[in-house]
Amino acid sequence: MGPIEGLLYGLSIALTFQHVVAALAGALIGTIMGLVPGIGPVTGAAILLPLTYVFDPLTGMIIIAGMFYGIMYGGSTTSILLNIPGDSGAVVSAFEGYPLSRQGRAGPALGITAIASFVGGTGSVLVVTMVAAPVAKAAIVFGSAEYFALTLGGLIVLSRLMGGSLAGSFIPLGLGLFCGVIGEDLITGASRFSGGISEVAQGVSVVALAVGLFGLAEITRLIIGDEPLPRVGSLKWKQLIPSKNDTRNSVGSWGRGGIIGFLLGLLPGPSISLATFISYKIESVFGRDRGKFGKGAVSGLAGPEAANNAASTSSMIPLLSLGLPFSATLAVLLVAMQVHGIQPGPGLVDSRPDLFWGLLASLIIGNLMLLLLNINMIRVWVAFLKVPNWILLPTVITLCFAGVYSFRNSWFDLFVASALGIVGFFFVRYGYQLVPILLGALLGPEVEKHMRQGLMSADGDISYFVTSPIAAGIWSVVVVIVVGVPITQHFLKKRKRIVGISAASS
Amino acid sequence: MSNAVQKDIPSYPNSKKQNVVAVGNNHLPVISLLTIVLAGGAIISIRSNYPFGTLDAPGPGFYPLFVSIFLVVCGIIGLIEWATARNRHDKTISYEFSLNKISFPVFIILIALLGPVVYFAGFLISTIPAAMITAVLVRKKITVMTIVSMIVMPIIIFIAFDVLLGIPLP
Repeated sequence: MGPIEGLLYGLSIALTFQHVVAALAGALIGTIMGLVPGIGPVTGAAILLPLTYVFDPLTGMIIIAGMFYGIMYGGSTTSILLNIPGDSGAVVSAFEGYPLSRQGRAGPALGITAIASFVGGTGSVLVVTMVAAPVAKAAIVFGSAEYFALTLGGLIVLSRLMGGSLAGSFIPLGLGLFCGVIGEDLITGASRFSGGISEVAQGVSVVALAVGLFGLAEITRLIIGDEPLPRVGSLKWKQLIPSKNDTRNSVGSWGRGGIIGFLLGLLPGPSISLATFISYKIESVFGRDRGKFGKGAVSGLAGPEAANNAASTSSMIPLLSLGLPFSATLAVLLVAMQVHGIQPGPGLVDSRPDLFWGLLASLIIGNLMLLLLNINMIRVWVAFLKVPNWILLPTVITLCFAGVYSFRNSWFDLFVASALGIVGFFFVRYGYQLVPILLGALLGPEVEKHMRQGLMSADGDISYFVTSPIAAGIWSVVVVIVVGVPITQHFLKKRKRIVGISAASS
Repeated sequence: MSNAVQKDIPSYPNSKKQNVVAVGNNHLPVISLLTIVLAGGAIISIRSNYPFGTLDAPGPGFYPLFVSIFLVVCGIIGLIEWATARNRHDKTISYEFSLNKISFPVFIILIALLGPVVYFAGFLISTIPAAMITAVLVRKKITVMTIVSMIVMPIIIFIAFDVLLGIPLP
């Protein structure tokens, strides 16, 4: 099935009444969750995950896809209205969006954001549709050596790019890999580190991990961190739909932002924030209203918003084609797929074409729903922002525990979520990254499977993992990034210090 | 503490000094040592419980042993990084945010207990008081409205999961 036939097939599945309602519900719930101040897309997606259990896999995935976009849009809304970015990708939106909102132009700012998200996201989905299936087909030739290199190498690169010291990068990864070891051995069926307890032998639930590390830890930080919780002031605007002038100023920025976002979204690490910052810089040079930058330039909002959604969508190529999530949000998306028994990767397009194409088509529908929803409901979102935190935060905590328990009806999951909520809180407090823990636990079993299968097929020859050209290429890239990044940082720091000293002496 | 040293410690504009508590002076050696102890315990457990196998037929203990050794190495690197830090500022804890002295112990205990209590005591019995405590911590006061809202909200979630979604809660 070619990309066009695949997309049409996907649309025929995704455009049924049930799936359209699912996309609408996902976008609606996602936007509401994204509007909760301080909760980003990862936390929001982790908390909302349990709501999809009762649906069939495709409907569940369509809801999750709608939520995915909805949460991001909600994050941008708080960025524009409150100057509180919902996530790192929405930081740039505040630079121009908040001044616009202070000028009483919150309506057009949110309208431009909604259209930019639609343009960037939909354009990116169309390219993903063309690229994802061929990449997945090419990856069918991959053996254990290539998969081992991709999964372990990917984890190492991602942990290193997240920042921090060497130990700070790899301790969370090691802990995640260790979480993945607990439970039944995939090959022999032996129960590991379970103490003979059947619930523990089932392994650490990915839902408990995601909700504990991102949901509970973040709520804990919001409640006991000594920072004032965000509040909403009164907001007014004269019109909701962007003016002709606003649209003229945005069109080029949408295109530029979309292309930058798509390309950068393919890279591992913080590619979404990087894409929005680069897009903002580019707009400050090429934007039609570049003279207004910092005071509410429409192009400075439109470009980064398009880049944000385009990058989020293109980052799905490695997830759908290779089964590798390159960001925290995608890791939660992978958890959602696994909850529904779907393992993305090269086999998905052939084994479950309905899911593969249905999901891609649903991304377009999710984007469209979001556009329609947000143009019409901006006033509702602003009203929602006024719900007090003392109602929202206890509700989110209650939802977290209800969701964790309902996944497997296991007491062990509740214990794990509680424990990881506290561990995650302290890790965040000390500046450690949580994403490597989740990714390590998610992909650890894959690393083990390919490691052991590779060793068995190569009769114990360790060189098997580096002799194939693809595996050797992947490991070379890993070494270049892991060694190259600290060396570059060291020289940049040194240069900065020299410049600082010479500036001080002159 | 000398003025020179005080200057090295980052300040937090939102912190109310009287309410801020420090968890410890140094996180890196603590986390590194905990990692080494955890991984060391895992290695002992693996050696006695799970066969390592051979390179051409790895057993269930093969991969966990590698992960544990990796963790031990990371822990040792953490200790070396701390020991070789150039000045006191590098060795001093750098908080991402500060803590509220009252909410901190209460909420940590609440989260630690909530998971087990939800299972053993039941969803509503555990989440209603937990929601009330959380609301009071956020709102800094208790009102009839808080109490009523925090009784109604868990009941709505319980009914939504149990009746609407068909997912039984304990």
